[in-house]
Amino acid sequence: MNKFTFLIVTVALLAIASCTKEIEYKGDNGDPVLVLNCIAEKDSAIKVELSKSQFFLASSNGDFTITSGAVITLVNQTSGQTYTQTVPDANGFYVFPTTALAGNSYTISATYSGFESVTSSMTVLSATPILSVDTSSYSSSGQTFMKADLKWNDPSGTDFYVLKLSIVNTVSGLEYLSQPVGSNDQSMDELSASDFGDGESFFSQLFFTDELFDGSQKTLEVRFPKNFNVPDPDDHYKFTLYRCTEATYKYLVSTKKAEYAANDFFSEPVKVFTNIENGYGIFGALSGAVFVK
Amino acid sequence: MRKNKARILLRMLLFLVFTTLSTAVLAQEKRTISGYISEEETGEKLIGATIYDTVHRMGAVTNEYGFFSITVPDEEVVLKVTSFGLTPRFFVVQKGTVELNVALSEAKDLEEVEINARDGQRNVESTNSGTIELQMDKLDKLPVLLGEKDVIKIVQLLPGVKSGGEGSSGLYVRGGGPDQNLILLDGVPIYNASHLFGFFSVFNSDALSQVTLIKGGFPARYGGRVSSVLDMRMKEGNTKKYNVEGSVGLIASRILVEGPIFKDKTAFAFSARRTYIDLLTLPFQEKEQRGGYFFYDLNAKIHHKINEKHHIYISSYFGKDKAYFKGKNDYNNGNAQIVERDESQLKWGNAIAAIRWNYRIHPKLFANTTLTHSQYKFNIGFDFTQTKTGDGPDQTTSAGFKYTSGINDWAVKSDFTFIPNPNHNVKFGVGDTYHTFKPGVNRFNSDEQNNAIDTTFGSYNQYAHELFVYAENDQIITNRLKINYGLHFSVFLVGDKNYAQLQPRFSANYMLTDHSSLKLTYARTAQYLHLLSNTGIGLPTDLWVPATEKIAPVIADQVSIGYNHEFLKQYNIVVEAYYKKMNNIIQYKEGAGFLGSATDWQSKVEAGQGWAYGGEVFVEKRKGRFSGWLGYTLSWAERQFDGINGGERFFYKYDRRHDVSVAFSYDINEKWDCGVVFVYGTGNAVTLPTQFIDVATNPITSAFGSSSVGLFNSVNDYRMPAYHRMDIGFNRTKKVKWGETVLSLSVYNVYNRKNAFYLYTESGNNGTNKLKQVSLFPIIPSISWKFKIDFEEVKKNKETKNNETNE
Repeated sequence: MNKFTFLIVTVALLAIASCTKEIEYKGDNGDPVLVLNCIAEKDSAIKVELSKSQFFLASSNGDFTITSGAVITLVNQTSGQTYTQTVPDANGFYVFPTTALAGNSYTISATYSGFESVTSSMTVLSATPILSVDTSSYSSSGQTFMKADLKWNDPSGTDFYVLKLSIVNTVSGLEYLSQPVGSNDQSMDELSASDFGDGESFFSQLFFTDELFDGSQKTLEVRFPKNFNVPDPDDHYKFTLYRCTEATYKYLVSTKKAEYAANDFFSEPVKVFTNIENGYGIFGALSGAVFVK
Repeated sequence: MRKNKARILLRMLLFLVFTTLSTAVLAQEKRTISGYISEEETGEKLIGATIYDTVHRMGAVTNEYGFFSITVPDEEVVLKVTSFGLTPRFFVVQKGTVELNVALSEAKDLEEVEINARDGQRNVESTNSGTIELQMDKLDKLPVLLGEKDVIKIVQLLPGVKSGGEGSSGLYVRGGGPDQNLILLDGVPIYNASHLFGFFSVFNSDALSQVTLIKGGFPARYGGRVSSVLDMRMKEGNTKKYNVEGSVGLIASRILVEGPIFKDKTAFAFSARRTYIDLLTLPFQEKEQRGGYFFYDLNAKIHHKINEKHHIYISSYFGKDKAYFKGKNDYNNGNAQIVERDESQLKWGNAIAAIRWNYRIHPKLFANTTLTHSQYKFNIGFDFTQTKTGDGPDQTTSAGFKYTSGINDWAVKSDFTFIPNPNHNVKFGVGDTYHTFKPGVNRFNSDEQNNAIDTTFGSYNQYAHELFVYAENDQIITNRLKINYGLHFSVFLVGDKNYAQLQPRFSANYMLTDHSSLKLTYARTAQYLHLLSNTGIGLPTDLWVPATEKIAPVIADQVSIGYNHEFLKQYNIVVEAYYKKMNNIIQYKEGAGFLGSATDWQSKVEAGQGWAYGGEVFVEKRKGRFSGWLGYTLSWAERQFDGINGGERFFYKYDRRHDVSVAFSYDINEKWDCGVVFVYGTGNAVTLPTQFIDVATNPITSAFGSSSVGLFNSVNDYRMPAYHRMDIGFNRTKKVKWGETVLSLSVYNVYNRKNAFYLYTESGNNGTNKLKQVSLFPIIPSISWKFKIDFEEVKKNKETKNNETNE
């Protein structure tokens, strides 16, 4: 496909001479701000990444991760407990000695010298248990594929979901992550919407909302290739249905789209979602419900 | 709701019928004179010529087919017939005469045709607002890019009209998109009006006789688009004598041949144009790696006069662009000899055909019935073949990819003009267009051993009927007030969904003085077709799609108020303000594009709203040695989509706050003339990510946030540098024995302004990034040579020579 893009752009930029020149940037939004990233998983430790944004004309050689001098304060609004963290671990995470609890609300703030303080808040949602999964196989273009119907009760109110498929060995506990999965269900975001009319298309995760089935029992049909051998009777399909905060969903979808768009000359620009006041990034959570088949 | 609409329509029609018939009944002791006005030299019918009864001070104007009808008292009258640039003629029409066919001859060179109170005032008197008619003869004198005369490029110089970018032939009229222009060639819509990725339009201006742009106040007879109508008429063919003209330019050559098949009865016009970039670059290319590009156009038209009442026209256009790249690679792998060949190509083109039948049913009633076909096809393909010999059995494997899209229309329509008396000019009609949309189908094929694939996926064909009926009346209320009112009712049948739209149109012209008028217009327009475009510069990848069950048609309401003033007999100034609201316009969703997804196009788009408002000033001098215009536009264009830019309103990509254009020509003497064009415009709005951030670690995939993404505050919140340039050109006309030649020298972008086509960032040596712009056209001088063979002149010269020899 790059060849076509090349052909279009090259010829479009003409058989005639074109030229480039450096121009002065005459806009605002030039000062870097704090970037706070935290997508907490229910019942897991809350881990935060802190960095600086990079002005697009600034040196690309700098390290923008903040490893010292920052103060990050996490408050569990439900319990009233406050935690402060100033030192990241070896992987660069500011890890708090508390886990994200369903139904609890949290606020976070970060300060760093020379930057405006950033704040955000979120509430961890409870998971929506998968009631059942029915699987069957089918053939297409000489290959074997699987169909699975997942059933769960959707809570009332707008909900945001991400579905992940993996293979897990129930004895060794080894998990093969990111098995491709697809669905042509109407609720899919276009980021992960498949069209099984004349072909098969799969993604590492499926993004969808309950706009079309709010408050009712949902049966979602998904498909995936049976391209792995499952001779080991202990290998099983593991379906994880994540219920996300709205901010988490919007952040994940928009960053994914922005990454794709950056590599496609013809795609539309994507505005990356943020819920960090005075800065960028995400403070959100997701709660996974697992069904092993 | 529908009942109400039907009731309103019925009332309007009754009012129309009542007012027109009542005056017709009162018009006893009168007679109707009708006929055609044509140009003497060519026999070409004249559109917009005026017929004026000098005794009773009433007039009429010819329609698109040169037909007029004027009802006058049944007594001797003196009619004055005028048309722009032609010598007026007076006729004493005796009592009882009901038919008058007039041929006007060209005004003598550089002659200033005298202007009286009735001439040259059509604009100031007309109810048409936001309407500009181009003078085709003046276009030749204006300098153009690479010497390729292009009517769309000239239209872009008019106020309220913008181009998509440097050199682009896209049209953005009053904040509308490029799909919102009804571009008609002999009444047939053209879907992609661009050659060479938008740098040239598909219209060979040699083949055109008239070009009219309507930006607002659309009469009810037009429908299907919401921003503008660009109505172009092809030459009918010279019914008097043969004429051959052509030109040779730097990148293309053109030829036009026209003449009578049967004198004064049947005529033809044929024109062709082809570029030769591919041929010129061929010697500089390697044999193993070849690429090229060309486009061509063919226009043909036949006009046959069956009798004074019946005329038949057959016209067609066929144009194609092709860009290709061919590669060959031979190499050895062990004992095996491997030959690889690949070919990539892009092809697109329009084909249209129309058959028109003009029937003068009655001196007051004229009918035109048209059957048309319009097709646009886009094709992108890649083929790869590998042949392996010398190591075991010969093996050939091949693979290919093809993406096709297009639109196909069949249409039939009947238009009627009814002129009961000079105070009413009624037009009504009915039509149906059958659309077939092919919105993007991908095909992969591979015959690799054990893994043969031949699969097709993408969007499915969609079929739709677009039916319409309209009626309008151009009515003189008093000698100062004239109104045009009408209704356009259309229905779109697609799948199980029916859309119906009643579109009222109204315009009024109040003459403040004999030379100035105030105009007010309102128009509701509906558009059932959308264009999916990532770039907006008229690339062939842009996709035409219909309104569907999910995607509603675009509905626009536009109001405008204007002041027209004519001064110093030759100047005309138009000041206009407008406000336009558009609903259900579509745009690709964030991150979406025409490539890279198997899903249906409907899931890639977002429907929203648009606003456009502003003011325009147009000062024009149409006559004399010095002619041209100055245009200024102050405008705003905004968009809002729930799923784009966080749902907030943002500036449209082609929002341009200030836009200035100056275009004039000057006849220095009989041999030389010159033209100058200057344009200035606020830079295009672009989205520029100004901050980059690390992406959060995603616990679902356990992927660390190693990648970064660009951020921006708002879509299109940065402005490219302002666009401006000046072009100049000189033409030298030389009379030769066999006709005439014109040598044109022009310089595009005289002061070598580097205008931004697009912006990008580049890493510098010290790790810093730079903001850079790509400019396409530096200063470009060009030369072209035009010729015109006058066979009458050749014959005359031959006879003179023979006579001299005999003597």
